Amino acid sequence: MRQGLTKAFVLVSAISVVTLSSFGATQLTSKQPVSYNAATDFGRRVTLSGECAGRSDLPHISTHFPRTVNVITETFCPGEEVSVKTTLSRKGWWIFRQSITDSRSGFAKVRLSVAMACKWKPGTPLIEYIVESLHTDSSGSSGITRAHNFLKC
Amino acid sequence: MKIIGWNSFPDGCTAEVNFDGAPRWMRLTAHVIFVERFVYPRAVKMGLGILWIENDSLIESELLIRNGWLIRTRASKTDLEKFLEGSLVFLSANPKKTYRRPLAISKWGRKIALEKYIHKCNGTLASYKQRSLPQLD
Repeated sequence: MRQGLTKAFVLVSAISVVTLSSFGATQLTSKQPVSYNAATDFGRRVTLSGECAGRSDLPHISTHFPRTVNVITETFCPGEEVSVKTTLSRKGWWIFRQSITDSRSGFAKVRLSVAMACKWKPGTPLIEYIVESLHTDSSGSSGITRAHNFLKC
Repeated sequence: MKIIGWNSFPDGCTAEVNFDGAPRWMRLTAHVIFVERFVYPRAVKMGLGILWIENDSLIESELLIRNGWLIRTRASKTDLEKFLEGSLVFLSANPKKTYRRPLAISKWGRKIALEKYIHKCNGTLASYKQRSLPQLD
């Protein structure tokens, strides 16, 4: 009886140690980084249809407005009307998320900046911000871009 | 006292672990919920972890490099890398269907599923599978 209790105690201790030691093992802060200078890359393409492109930057903490998360998206197509529609979301508890959508149209190149308040308390996990954009041009071409980042304020 | 581990790095860095070049057993394990957390430190030690930093930022890189991290500036990201991750798209007039969002449970599985979803929507799944930029007309 006593031997059985000892075995059970050892087993429970081992499971606890493995479980506790594994917490936080994958706490990477974020993924999918994007260069903020991406717009300059479009100039490398000289073919007509290949020049049209869109991009979504990584959501980041705004340097101009404290405690604000900001993202920049862009659609580029020389000689055509272009538009971009961007949704910036903050992942919340379970399925609940808060989103802000904005859109802009222009000629040849349109750049949109979407911002939302940054929510984070010290000691809590980083919050995931997701940006999704729909890029279109006047000829009916379109494309979707997506990026996400884990941020604290 | 703060414990410095394999996943300790300065604020402003963005970490990414890419299992594309990992052995098959590691890729499979990265898809298994709960167990996945054990392969990340191993992958970083194998040199599969990348720390993205701002172009003008200064960081103490010696310990990070010793832990296995590769350090890159965001400006060094190529068009191909941006295209594959889904943050850069070349507009095309090809007809597009609407697809359902994929479900995945592991961290790596979610990343792959979302990348595939974006490329399916954009009609560039073939290029994504070939790991190349789409052929431009």
